[in-house]
Amino acid sequence: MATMFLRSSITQAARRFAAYALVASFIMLWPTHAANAQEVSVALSSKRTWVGVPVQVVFSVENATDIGDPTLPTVPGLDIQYSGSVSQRSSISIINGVRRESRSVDIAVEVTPEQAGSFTIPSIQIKVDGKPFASEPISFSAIAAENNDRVFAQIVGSDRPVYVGEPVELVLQIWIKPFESDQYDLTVNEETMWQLVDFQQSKWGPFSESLVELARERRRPAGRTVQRDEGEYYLYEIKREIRPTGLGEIEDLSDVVVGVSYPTGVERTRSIFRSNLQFTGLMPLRARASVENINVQPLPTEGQPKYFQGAVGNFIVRAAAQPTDVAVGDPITVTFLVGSVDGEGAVLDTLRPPPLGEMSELTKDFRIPQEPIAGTVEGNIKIFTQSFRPRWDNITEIPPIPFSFFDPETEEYRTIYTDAIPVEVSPAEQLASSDIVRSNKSDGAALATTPEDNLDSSELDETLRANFPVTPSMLASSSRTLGVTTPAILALPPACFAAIGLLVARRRWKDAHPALIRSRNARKRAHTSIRNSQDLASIGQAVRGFVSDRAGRSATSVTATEATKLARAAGADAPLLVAMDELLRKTERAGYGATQEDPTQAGDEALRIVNELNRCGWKQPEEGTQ
Amino acid sequence: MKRRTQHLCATLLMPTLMLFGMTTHAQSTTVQEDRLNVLTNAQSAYDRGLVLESVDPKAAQAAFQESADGWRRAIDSGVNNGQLWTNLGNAELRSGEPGEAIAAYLEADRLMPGNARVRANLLEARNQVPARFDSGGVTVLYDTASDGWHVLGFDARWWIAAVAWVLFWGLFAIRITQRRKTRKQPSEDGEGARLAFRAALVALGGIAVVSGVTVGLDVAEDSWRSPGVLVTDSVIRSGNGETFSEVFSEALPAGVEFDLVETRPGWHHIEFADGRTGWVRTDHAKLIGS
Repeated sequence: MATMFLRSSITQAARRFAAYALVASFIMLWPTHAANAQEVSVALSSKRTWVGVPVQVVFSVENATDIGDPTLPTVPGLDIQYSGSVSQRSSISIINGVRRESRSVDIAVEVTPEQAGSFTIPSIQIKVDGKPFASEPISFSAIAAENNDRVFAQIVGSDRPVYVGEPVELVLQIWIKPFESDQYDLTVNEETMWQLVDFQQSKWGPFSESLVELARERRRPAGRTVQRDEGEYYLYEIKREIRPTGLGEIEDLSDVVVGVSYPTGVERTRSIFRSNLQFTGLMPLRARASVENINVQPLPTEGQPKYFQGAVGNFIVRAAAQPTDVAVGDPITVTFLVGSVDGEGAVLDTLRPPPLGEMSELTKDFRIPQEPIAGTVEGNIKIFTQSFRPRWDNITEIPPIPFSFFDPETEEYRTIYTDAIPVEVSPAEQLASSDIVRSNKSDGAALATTPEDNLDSSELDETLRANFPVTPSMLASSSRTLGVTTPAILALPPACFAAIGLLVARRRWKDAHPALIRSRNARKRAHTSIRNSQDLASIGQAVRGFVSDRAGRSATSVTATEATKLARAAGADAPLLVAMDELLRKTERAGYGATQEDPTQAGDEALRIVNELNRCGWKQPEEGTQ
Repeated sequence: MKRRTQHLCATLLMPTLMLFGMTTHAQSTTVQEDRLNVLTNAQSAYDRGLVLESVDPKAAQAAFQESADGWRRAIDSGVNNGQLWTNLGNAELRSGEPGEAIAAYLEADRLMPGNARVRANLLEARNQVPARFDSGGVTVLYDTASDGWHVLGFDARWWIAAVAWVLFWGLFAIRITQRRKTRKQPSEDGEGARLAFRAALVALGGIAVVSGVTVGLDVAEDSWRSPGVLVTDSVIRSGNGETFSEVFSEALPAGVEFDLVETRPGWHHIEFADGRTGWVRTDHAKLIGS
């Protein structure tokens, strides 16, 4: 009982606490808009800056739901741009049970000085929840960063003239003077100086790909210390191979600019654990790369080979074919390999395939698609594959395939050849191809792949296309259907054969079982004989004949007594035996002329007796019983 | 009374039937004459086109087109034979429609398999198609084999098979009935006759079976093969809709042959000889034997 009371008290207390907690939570979460109002404050990120380095005017707007774009002023020497929202904050506070919620949004206007001097940013207007707000004018100064040969860059190319399409290796050299501090006897190492290169402020032109590759491999250009103009510099080199596609100067090189955040000073910082040197400030230096005279010359037109496709460099070629034992018209896959001797894989990327389909020395014997083929580059080799289809069966080889290129070393065109590839071509039996076969209508021989194809066109015109003459027989329809006659003809002969076979078999069986046939036909024969009888004697003979036929005995050997015995043996009952005996005796007597009874009555009686006898259990006569 | 009625009926029926027969025959004759006129006109247009071909190609093309229309009208009226299709193919080919021509020749080849003229013209039409898929494998083997039995026409092979079949069973039946007699009276002459009988039976049975099988294969070919031809330049797509991607980078020209896989409303799913498949609009293709 005490336990029950205690449990009840606890439950009541818990319920009361839950109710209080619910009310408190509700009060805490109840929005208290009345306590919040919009507030706008303005701050400048820095009062001093370098030329080209922006400062930010930051508007911190609190508790606003709608913030309009600021109206930007125009100031000579300043580039003022709206940057939008840069940060957002929100906070909830509960003081004495009163819940307060505030939300703050920072929007920035970026001001970049384009020249040195002191500047005043005029009032900037902004609308907050429909109400206009204007900032106070803000002043700041900009200092020009003086390079003083601390950083410079230059692009170095080939010593000799470069031809269009010729691969040339360019080197971007970045010279950075190491920062030195006499106060701390410090010379910053080359790794730290490279980290001061400002990639955001730099323009790399064609060298950006090289930097991306280096970054992907987690590498950086290695710096080395070199003397220049009696000063010591760190020299960083970035290489890039390009292929000029036009004449004159190479595009994009004049826009290469290197930005470096160069230190302005150094100071020592101390903490509980360690002391460090750190830069007191960074000066943005920018150096535009000077380009050495890299002139691109056109390829000479004189002596340009017929099948020259713009390849410039030094190459070797090889060819292989598979299969080499084919029929006329069957495809031979020819693999044509172009290797760059100089090991310059880049030149192969844009290398165009030789125009195999236009080479008469090939097309006179082989059918080759006209479409340009795409090759694949594997290391310093580019592989082209093309399908050759022999036109004739007397072809013994794929002739040497020419490849023309311009050698910039010797400054002349060269044409090199693959080795001839022996093939065996047999006459066509069938066209077999796994690919679509292109043909050119204008090229009469293009499709001549089988002996039939080689028919003279005039012959085709005169005979092969001739119409069938118009005659009444042309009005008859034909079809490839079988109709009902086919199943009939298919089934009738075997059916007839089966019928004839059955008849023959039946005849043979009858021949083999004469007694049985006699027994089966006994009643019918007896009936016929009785009906045809004119006297009593022949009626008796018919009845005895019936008994002898059913018993398998010879008709002449059965007497009246024997007939009665045989009938008894077959199970004939006494009245029937008596009737038969009387009839047979009567007929015997009539044979001797002893009686003059009407044969019709006796015939009817004989028929009845035969019918009843026929129903008796006569044994099947044994084979050979006569 | 009854006999009289029968007499009367017979008297009335006979003239009626005769009159109906004559009318039907007359109508049939008129239809045949009309069709023959259509064919004659088509042939005349074709001949005219041949004359004009070297002088006025445009007029020649129009004449060939007129001829093609004539042959096609005859086919549409219910006449269906290889000769007619061949003549249609010739007219279409001359009028610059290799796709239609190939379709017509394939129909002709189907009805007159192995006909040299049809084959030659089909080859000529195929040569005018700037692209084609060469077939290989089982299809080529079957075609090569069927070329052998197509030396004889379909009807000829059917008759040979039928006659050989009847004779085979007839001889067999005779042999069965005669066997007992020859057993009872064995002689050297009887032995020779038996051998001759046996040889004749084997020969006739073989002829009947071979001819019958080739006829059966020809008929069955229609069910397992559904060839077709593109009759206009056609974009082959990967699905049955214009929004599906193109299977080939360019439209395939008229005359490219294919096998039908299935048909859906407005589109045929087709397979080319090299095994590549795609979908083509039904109005861009013609199916053979349909």
